Amino acid sequence: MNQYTIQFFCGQINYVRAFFENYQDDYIRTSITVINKIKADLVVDTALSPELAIRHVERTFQQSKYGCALHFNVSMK
Amino acid sequence: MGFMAAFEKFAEKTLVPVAAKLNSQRHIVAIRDAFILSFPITLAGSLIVLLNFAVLAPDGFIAKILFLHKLFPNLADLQSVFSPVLNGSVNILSMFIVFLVARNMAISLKADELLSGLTGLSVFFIIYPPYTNVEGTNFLTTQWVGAQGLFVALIVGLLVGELFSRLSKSKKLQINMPDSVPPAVSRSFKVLFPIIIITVLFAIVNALINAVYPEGLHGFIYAVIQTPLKSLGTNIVSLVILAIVSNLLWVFGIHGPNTIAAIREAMFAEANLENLNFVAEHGTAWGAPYPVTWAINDAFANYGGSGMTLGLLIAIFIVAKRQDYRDIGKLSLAPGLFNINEPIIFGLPVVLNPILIVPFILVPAINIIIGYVAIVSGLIPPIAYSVPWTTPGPLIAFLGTGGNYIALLLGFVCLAVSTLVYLPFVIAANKANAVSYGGQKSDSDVSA
Repeated sequence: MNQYTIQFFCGQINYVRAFFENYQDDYIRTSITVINKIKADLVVDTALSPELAIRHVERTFQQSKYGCALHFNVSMK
Repeated sequence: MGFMAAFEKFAEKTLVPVAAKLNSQRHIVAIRDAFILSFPITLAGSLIVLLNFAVLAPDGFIAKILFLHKLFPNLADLQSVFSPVLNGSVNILSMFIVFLVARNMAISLKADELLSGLTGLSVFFIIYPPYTNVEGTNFLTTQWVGAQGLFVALIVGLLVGELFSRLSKSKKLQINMPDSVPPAVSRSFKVLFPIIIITVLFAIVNALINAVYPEGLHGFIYAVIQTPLKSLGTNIVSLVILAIVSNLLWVFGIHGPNTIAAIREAMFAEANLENLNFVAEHGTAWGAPYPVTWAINDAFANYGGSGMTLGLLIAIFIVAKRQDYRDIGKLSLAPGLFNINEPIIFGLPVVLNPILIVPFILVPAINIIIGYVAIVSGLIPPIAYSVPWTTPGPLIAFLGTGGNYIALLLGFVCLAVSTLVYLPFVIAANKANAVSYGGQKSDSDVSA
């Protein structure tokens, strides 16, 4: 199991926090620390590679109720 | 509570849920994605028109620059080779759209997407004006398969997608074949009754409408819905409002262009295609029927990405004293040349930045008006050629007008204007400390 910290940028960070706080699916388990209004650190426990983990995080959030409407950017810390 | 904080709260509590609804509402998503999926095909058509009239035509601007017709005297003959691409792209766009909308609806309702799309296409032609027989040969008008049939395509796609998906889930309407039957056959039989019901239903509706309105459903919808909506869309006020809304959503972290995409496409798609057809027919953008389309935004108000942030980058290089601004500026320049501005949006940041929100919204509106005035005053032709949005800055105006040098110059003027508007705000940012975002100070550690 790998652990990565992914930087998550979004103008609506509360929605990101609400979604990723203790989020878990078949591939990732996450915890989140909000740094400020537009930035959060997402700690991801996963068996995926860094690239796949980022892609999975992006896709998962994009398919969420509010993620589909939000503009965000993620990068590996 | 300050204005900015109040608006942030409003955005979070009201705008985000509304935008989320718009971005997840299946009918809107089906329309939006249909246009996104058909974009490469329409772009191919547009690029061929550009190739024909910029490169292959003797008076094309690239042909003139490179003296192509002195090097290759028969170059113009090749135009007829490429022209049919338009017949297989822009001129039959409504067929793509009806298929894709019905398919997208079925995807969101978890039904058979391929057969839903095909049923949509089938219905599109059930309600199509009948064949005319000329000397023993049947002819079908092409009037409604291109731009003019777009709204029928959208409506039929939505209705068929919805009906097909719901009917095909009814156990009473399913014909289940034994396991020994090949999957393709089994799949077809499963939705046989829904398809029959839908096609018969639309045939009856078509007959009823034809009895009342002899021009048929296509003519009816074109006159009653598509034309008024197109008129609404192709005026400067609508264009500026759409741009303002899109950029306003953007600075509050909502994906503005995606959120307004379905509305934008419905309002401008026909006008864009009519302009392109005009160019294909006349070889010039001068006199194109719709001077105001969303293309003005791309041609004059989107350099660097939403908010015309290429102007912001230049302003940063000129007056920014803050090292974080200059660092982000350098990092953002290369993607910014291709109208990608994520690094600057989250790096400066622009999002939720009370100083930069004003020019971010104001600059595109000003440049759209500049482009509009130049077009309606006859200084430059309408932006009739579709150009990929990643084309660097003023080149969009140049190529979109079919190689008009004044449009290219105007593009640089718009860039200068945007820089001038951004300058005082960047100076203000110099004087302000890093904007507080509720936690640690704003930083600039976004990587591209």
